[in-house]
Amino acid sequence: MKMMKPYVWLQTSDDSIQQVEQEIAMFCPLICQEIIQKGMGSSKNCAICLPQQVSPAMLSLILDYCRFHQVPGRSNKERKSYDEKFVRIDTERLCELTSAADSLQLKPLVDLTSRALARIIEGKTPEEIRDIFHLPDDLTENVEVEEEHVDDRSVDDLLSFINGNDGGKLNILTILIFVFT
Amino acid sequence: MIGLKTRTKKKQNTIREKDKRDFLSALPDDVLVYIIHFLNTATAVRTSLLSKRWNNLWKSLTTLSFRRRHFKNRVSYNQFVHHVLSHRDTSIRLHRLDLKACTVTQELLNHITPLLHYVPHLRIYLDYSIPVIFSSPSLTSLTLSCTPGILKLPSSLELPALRTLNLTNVAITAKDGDECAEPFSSCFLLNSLDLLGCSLSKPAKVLSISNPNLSRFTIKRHSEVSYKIVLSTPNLTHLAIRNWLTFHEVSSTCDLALLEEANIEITMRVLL
Repeated sequence: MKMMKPYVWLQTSDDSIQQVEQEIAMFCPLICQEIIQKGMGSSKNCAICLPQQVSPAMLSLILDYCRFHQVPGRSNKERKSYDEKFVRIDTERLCELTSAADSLQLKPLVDLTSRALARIIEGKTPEEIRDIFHLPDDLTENVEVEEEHVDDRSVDDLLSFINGNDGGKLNILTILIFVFT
Repeated sequence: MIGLKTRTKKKQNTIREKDKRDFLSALPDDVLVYIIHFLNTATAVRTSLLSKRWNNLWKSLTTLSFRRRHFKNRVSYNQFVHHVLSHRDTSIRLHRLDLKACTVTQELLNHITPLLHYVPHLRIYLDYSIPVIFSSPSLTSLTLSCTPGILKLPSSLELPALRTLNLTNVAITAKDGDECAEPFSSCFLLNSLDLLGCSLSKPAKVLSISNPNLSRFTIKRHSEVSYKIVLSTPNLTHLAIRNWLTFHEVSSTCDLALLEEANIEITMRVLL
């Protein structure tokens, strides 16, 4: 008998049902729990009902992410560069992706997208952030935050610069002696 | 023809409507707090100005990072630290505190000291001693820097949970009159130790590092005064020594069989 790769049935927010490689889908803790604890997903009739945050487009993105990271033997550099490209999407999709990944309890992806969102917020004024994310300007009273912005470099910066990594990745003993007059 | 035009217009309207959607607000509070925890605290707190939803989110932050460079002067820095510590939700335990506490007022210190008893990750810049940080049962990682000559380390650090220690410009001391200083031997879990510009107070001449779990040790120093370093670290995998103007004599009581990487860099001045 031909060995079949195990599949799992998933139902997305638009009520459509699709078959996905179980090995990949199991990356999401929520799907994993449904399969192991409740025995769900083995047929179309008992498809796992995904949270409403997970649209088919988001599921497809999430599965791409899981498929890449599931392959053993990839170097950290490869994974990092994949992740960087993966979050190069528009802010709306980034938010949707964060929401979907969070609902599936896929922590590494929540971490990745949250960092990307934090980078978008960093260094912007409240008005700029409101513009990017279309946040309502519903604050009636002004909240005063006692802080002022000045971009001068501090001792902290210098210290972290001095204390930074040495960069040397040699697996041998390196001895450097500089002599100057 | 007219039908087609209407459809195009309708489509544009839908796109515009979609564009206006506040898609960030669909995220639950804990995810929004998680996003802003990657920001420095000044930026994170400023998100309270975004909208009502964001007004109190920052109060649940478990990571606080107060960087001096984000403030024009010490007064505004202190005011900000005070504002954050007195308004944050104290029912949520702080996980990480990054503080440049060089000139804090006594009032501010009263806010900070209780946190130091339990915060697991602490990064602090000081120009006076806060003894409490050297005897915390839950401190896991400590980065401590100060102006040279200000801070003397106690002869023994009572930090049983400590795994990562990074000290800059502190003076290491031995027990009364002892020649050998052994401040880290009660830190049983210590895995990574960085000593940058740390001196050894007289009369001590030897720094003994006796930690069975230590895997990384770095010492960097720019001084003409040297001291001996004795390693009793059987699990050491990474060793880095960088000296300017001096060379510390380093010896080991065990054979360092697990050592993977050693970088030794010495820069000497030669008078011709």
